[in-house]
Amino acid sequence: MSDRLESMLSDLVDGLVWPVDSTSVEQSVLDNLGSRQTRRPERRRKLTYALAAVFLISVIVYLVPPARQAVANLFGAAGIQITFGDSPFDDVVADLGLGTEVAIGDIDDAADFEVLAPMGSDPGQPDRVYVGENGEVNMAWEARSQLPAAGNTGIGLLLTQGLEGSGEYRGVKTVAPETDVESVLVDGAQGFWIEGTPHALVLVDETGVEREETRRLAANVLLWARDGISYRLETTGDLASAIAIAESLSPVSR
Amino acid sequence: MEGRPPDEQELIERSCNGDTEAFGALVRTHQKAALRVAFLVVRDRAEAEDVTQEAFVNAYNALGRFRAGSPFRPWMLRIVRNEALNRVRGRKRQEFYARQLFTESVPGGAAPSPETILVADSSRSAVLAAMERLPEKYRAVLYHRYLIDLSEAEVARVLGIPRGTVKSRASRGLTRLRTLLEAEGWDHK
Repeated sequence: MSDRLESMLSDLVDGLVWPVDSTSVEQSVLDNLGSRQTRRPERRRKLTYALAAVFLISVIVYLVPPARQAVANLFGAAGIQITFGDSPFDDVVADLGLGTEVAIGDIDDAADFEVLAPMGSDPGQPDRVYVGENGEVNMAWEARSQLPAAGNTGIGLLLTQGLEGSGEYRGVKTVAPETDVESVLVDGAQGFWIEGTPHALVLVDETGVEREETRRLAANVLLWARDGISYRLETTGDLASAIAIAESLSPVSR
Repeated sequence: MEGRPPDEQELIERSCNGDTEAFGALVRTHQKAALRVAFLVVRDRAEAEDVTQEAFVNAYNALGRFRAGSPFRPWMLRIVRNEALNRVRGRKRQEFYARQLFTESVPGGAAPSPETILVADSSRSAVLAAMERLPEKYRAVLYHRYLIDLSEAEVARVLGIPRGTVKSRASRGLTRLRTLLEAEGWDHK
C-alpha cells in the first residue's frame, strides 16, 4: 500500500454498514427448494403471462401508428413501411445505443482489453467504432455489395466484443421454432451460430445462469468466447463467411 | 470476511446429493457477501434479497456443473452478480421498449434511488462517493476488491475477466479515484 488512499480502501470494509446485512435468505431459499415441485406450474403461468404481454404489445404496435413505426425502425419488420432519413446507417447506429463513438486508432486506449478487428479487405475496417456503457466495443459496417443490409437498417455487419458476461457459453436457448442453432468452432473455441427468426437470445453461461441478450439486427448471429472475451457477430452473411471474418480477427494495435 | 467452514467441500457434495440442509449451511456462510454483491448492482434492498435468493436456487440447480475442489465463494458470487445484472438489463430493456412504443419516458420507470451504504467517517464517505463516479469497469473491480474484500483471483472469477485485467483496472481505477479526490481538495498522501 503506497499511500493513504489505498490504506483507507483496505480498511474501508470494516467501516461500512450495509442495508442488506441484517437480512437472511436462508429460509426463503430452503422454502423455494422444498417447493420445487410446485414451481413448474408457476413457470408455466409466467410463460402464459409473457405470451399474453407479447400479444398485447403486438396489438398496440399494430393499432398505434407511432408505435408501429418505432418497432419497424427497430426490427425492419416485413409488411410495414419504414421511412428513414438521408442516411439510414447513421440513423440506425445512433438509435442502437452502441455507446460513445471513438476513432479506430484510439480504441486501444478507450478499451480495457485487447480489441480485435477483421484483417484484410473483406469486410475491411469498420465504419464506426463505439465503446458501450459496460466497456464493450461495438464495430459497425455499412451495407455494401458484399455485405447486404440487415432489413432496412443500412448495417451490413455488427461486431461486439467485451469482458462482461464473457464466461464460456455452454448453450443457447431459443423460443422461436423457425430459428436454427448450430454448435460451431471458431478457431477452436466453442461457438454458436443462430440463424432464422429475429428474437431475443437466452445464453447459458458456464455457471448455468441464463442471460438474455437482445439481437440488435434482423440478422444471423455468431457467438463465441475466447480468453475471457466474448464476441458476437451479427451479419446477413452465411455461416462460412461469418466464420471467415471471425477467424481473421487480429489485434487492432498490431 | 467470514472464515470458510473447513468442511465446505463436504457440504457441496451433500448438497449435490439433494441434502438441502447442507446447502442451507452454504447459504448461511456466503449470504452476506452475496447480498452485498447483489446490492452493489441493483441498489435496492428488497431487490437484492430477491436476486440473492434466486441466485442461490440457481446455484443449487447448477451444482452438478460445479468443479469439485475449486473455491465455492467466487463461483457463487458470480451467479449472484449475473442474476443481478440480468435484473438491471431487464429493467433497462423494459424502459427502452416503453420509450420506443410511447415515445416518452414511463413515469416511475427510472431505476430506484440508491440506498446508502453508511460509513463511519466523512473522509471514507468522500472516497465512497468518488468511487461511485468512476466508470463501471473500474468501479466494479474496486468495489469487489475493497468493499466485498475479495482477492484479485476471486474478483477475476466473479467478474469473468482475466486476472491481469483485474490488476490493470484496479490500477487505472485508483489513479482516476485519486484524480477525482484531488480535484475536491482531498489530501491522500
